[in-house]
Amino acid sequence: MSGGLLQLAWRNLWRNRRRTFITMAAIAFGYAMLLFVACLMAGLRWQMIQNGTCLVMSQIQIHAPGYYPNRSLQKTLGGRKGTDVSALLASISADRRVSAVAPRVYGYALLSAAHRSAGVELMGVVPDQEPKITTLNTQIAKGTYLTARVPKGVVIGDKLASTIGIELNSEIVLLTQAADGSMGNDVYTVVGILHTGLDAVDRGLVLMSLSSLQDLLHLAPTRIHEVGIKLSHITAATAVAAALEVRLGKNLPVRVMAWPELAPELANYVQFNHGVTVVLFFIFFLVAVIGVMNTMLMAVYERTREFGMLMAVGMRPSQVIGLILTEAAGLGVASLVVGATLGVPLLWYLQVHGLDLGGATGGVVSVAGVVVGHLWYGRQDFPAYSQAAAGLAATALVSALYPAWRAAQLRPTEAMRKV
Amino acid sequence: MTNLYLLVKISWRNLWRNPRGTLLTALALGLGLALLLISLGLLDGGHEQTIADGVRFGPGHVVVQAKGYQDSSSDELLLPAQVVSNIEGFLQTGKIKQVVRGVSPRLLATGLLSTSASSAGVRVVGVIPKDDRAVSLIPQRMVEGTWLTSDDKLSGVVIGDELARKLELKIGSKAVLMTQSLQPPGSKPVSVDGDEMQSTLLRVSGIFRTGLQAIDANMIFVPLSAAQALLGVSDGQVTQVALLLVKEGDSPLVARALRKQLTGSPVEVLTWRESLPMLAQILGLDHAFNYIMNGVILAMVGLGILNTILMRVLERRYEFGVSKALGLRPRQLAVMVVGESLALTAISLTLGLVLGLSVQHYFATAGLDLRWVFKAGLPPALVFDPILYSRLSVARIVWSVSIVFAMATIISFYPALKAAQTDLPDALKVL
Amino acid sequence: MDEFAVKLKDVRRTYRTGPIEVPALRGVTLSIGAGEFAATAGPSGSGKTTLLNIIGGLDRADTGEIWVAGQNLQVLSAGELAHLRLQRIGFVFQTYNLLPVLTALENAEFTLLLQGMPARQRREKVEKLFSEIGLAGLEDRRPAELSGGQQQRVAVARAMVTEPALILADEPTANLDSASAIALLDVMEQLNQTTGTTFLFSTHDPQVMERAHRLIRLRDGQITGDETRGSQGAAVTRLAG
Repeated sequence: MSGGLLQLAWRNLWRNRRRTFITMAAIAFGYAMLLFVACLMAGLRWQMIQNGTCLVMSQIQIHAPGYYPNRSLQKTLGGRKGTDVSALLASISADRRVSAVAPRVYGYALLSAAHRSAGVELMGVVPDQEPKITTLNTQIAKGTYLTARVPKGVVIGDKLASTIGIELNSEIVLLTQAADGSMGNDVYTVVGILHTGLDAVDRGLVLMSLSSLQDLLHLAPTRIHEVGIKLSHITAATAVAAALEVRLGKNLPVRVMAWPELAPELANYVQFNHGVTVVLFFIFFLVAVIGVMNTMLMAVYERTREFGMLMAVGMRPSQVIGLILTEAAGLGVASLVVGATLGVPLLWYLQVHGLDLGGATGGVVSVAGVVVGHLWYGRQDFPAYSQAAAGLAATALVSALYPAWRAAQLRPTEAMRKV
Repeated sequence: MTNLYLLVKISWRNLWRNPRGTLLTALALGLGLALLLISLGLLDGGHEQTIADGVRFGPGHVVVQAKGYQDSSSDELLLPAQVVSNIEGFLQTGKIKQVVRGVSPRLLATGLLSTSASSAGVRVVGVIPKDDRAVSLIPQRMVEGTWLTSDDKLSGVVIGDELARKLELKIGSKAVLMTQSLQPPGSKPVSVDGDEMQSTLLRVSGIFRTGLQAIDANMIFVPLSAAQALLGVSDGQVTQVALLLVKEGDSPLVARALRKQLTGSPVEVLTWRESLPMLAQILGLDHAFNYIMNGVILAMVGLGILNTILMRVLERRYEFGVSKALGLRPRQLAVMVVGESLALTAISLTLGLVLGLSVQHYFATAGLDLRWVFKAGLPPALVFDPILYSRLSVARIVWSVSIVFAMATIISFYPALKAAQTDLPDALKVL
Repeated sequence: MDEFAVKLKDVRRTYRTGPIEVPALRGVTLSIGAGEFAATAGPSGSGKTTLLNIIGGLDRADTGEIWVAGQNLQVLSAGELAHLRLQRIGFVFQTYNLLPVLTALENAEFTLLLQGMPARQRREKVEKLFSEIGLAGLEDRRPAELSGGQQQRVAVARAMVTEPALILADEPTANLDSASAIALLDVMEQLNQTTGTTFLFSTHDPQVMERAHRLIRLRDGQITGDETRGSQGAAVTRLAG
């Protein structure tokens, strides 16, 4: 395509400004909307994962082989001898993708207070490390989180508290089977009451300090059941887990699991949700395509006379088609750029400020065992953005191609006769 | 008024001068409506399904409990037996019977289930096997063994697969259940073996899998009468009566009827929105999401309409010029343009309805199969149905059609105005 | 090399719009020699425009033979016809048909652009031609800024600039006032004399008919008269065929 013809193509676009603008608007607006929708959907997906893993589970867990899912008391990291916990934590943190780590110990016990009792799950954490990887500490409804000041303090869920009939500062007894076969029991004080909205947590979990739990279970300080990990980019979870398993496995037998393995129902739901959003996005895409196709078809069709004239002067039909496609491509690209420009502030707003749906829902919500907030953040989904752009551009070209081809089939006089 | 008739006739015929162009445009607009209907159907369908799935793993669409149970979750708050029979009797009568699919009285308590390997805190649920089958989804999620069969004898216990794995239990295995007698306020204390704690030996007769950790790892099911005996509940009391309805929309109606029926009794009758506030909130979120998506589609369809109509007007300046030169008044020209737009919209909407409703019907019956999202193969247990069924109410259809029609009408005023303003000498220039 | 620029044998062309058939040419046989300055004349509907269109490859005959510049038009594809138009034939339309987005210079050089000539050469050729036909100084004006006569001259320049063997002009003076019409005819006659390009126009303007060296009369799709005038003004009638 020579420079002169390119110039002609360019000028043709601006000759009928209104028509060009209408066509541009169809493409640009359609694209901006697609960007918005893609961003919102990606945000929802991310948030679901984030919320599902941030509360208690954490994004990656490291266990001794065979520990999960039965959680046998004896299967601590490093076997019965245990392991150098701080060295292990340091080794994990050496991976730059890891943003925080924390050790955990688990157990089951019978919790008694007043004249009632209940079976509960015990989770022992390090009070100043755990908040770096999970957000359970922010869900305290009454009282405080665990602190070093009260080593025998526990935090329990509100449903558990009301079932048993205990209040803040009540004393409870935990009775359990210890690691050496004896019965461990001790008295603890309720320092905090949780409300998460998750039944499993609110009704069945007791949070206490790691060392207290080790004491209760007669476990040496070197014995922990799990290391929880938070990553800087959650999407890398599976890859990081694989890498850690290989690296740590050289010194210590470990099984490293990323959240899709730990919470398959969450992973399934996320995938399902992804499927639904793909279908929805496709529908939106079709709507945009229709708009683009319609305008392009008409814009080119009504220039049939003009094309006849070009052919009369000596332009080959193939050259005429080439000219039109160049125009369409130029228009398409320009429109996409405009659309992207319109979209960028919107995308930025979504990512930073989010969409507040508080009016519709009023509060925190749980989906498939996951807590989803009412403030929706967007996340960037570049693959979707580029696919949408490519799709729209292709549509513009194909839509211009058809009437152009038809015009080129005509004899010049026939084309020039069209009104 | 004959003028108007003439204008209408001309408008209609004008559309058909260029049948291909007209049909193409109508198809484009119609597709917009069709896609709106399809997406509405899918979104609404998903909504209903979420509700159904949510309530069927819990208290059903409507639940009757002892007053104060929802807030305190105290297992000691029980419904008296006569309330239960009152409810059951009432639900057999006339109109109410049509809207209720199932009624399940249940007794709930906490306990500790132990084996030689381990022990776990569990939620004990006593149910009438046949009745619960009509309400709960769990009887349909058995993976081994069978759901509870006998009403009376403690023939066995049904547990979740996570629990089974944790305690290393199989069909036929035995486990010990430790429970504490429930002492409902006001009833005489029943002493069993003179001890507060009661332990029973149970045999696992069925294992289910729902995919919901909270259920699979925590809940065990025994026949109601057995549970009552175990927990020292003497007078046929239960914790709740859960109802499953034919249509979710009837929930408030049924709840109201029951409240009236039970005035005077110390009960609370809750719809699922009240008993499962979390679910209600998810759906609020879902609803908001749907709104946004619908808004986006409408905006795009609106733009499409605007574009189309503008183009049609722009390319006919010559024709309008001639008409005006011949004496057609600007207002009449405007009316003609609006008339054409309306006619075109009517055709488009008809096409759109036909297309949209047929596709929607397909999705309503066969469903939209989303199993392809699980690239690694279908996971063993899914909480939700991976096939999305579309559900479109008549109200929705009417709403969609009206909005698109209104948009098209309003949008066509602008080009009509432009057409009326066609500058005469300018418009008559041929190229 | 054929000494005839154009040779037609029993050419027929009928238009069909729906159920209606309009026979535009009903068996035309004609030869035009190289360097002739000829015109076809006749009332509307006589087929003179159709004849020109067919000779120029803008339309196809239903039957008959057409040879232009040594090529058999009936066997050429649309692309080849366009190529022929570009290289060997120049067309001047009644309604100028200049591209409104291009300047006078760009319009005139358009055919050279299509041929792939470099910019500077194109410019030189066009500027030279413009000065010869009185368009000097108007190179950068857009068609909207030119008078009818000037636009038509730009169209002629566009047709001439590729140095074609044959120029076809369809009622070139129809939209011009008489002064401009005369001026245009002067230009065309001058070009015909200096370059030897064959000119064939269609017209019903008596002024033009007077200036043509050969006048071919058409009526209802058939040739009814064919006169050649010598420089003395004596009319020599040549029989059709």
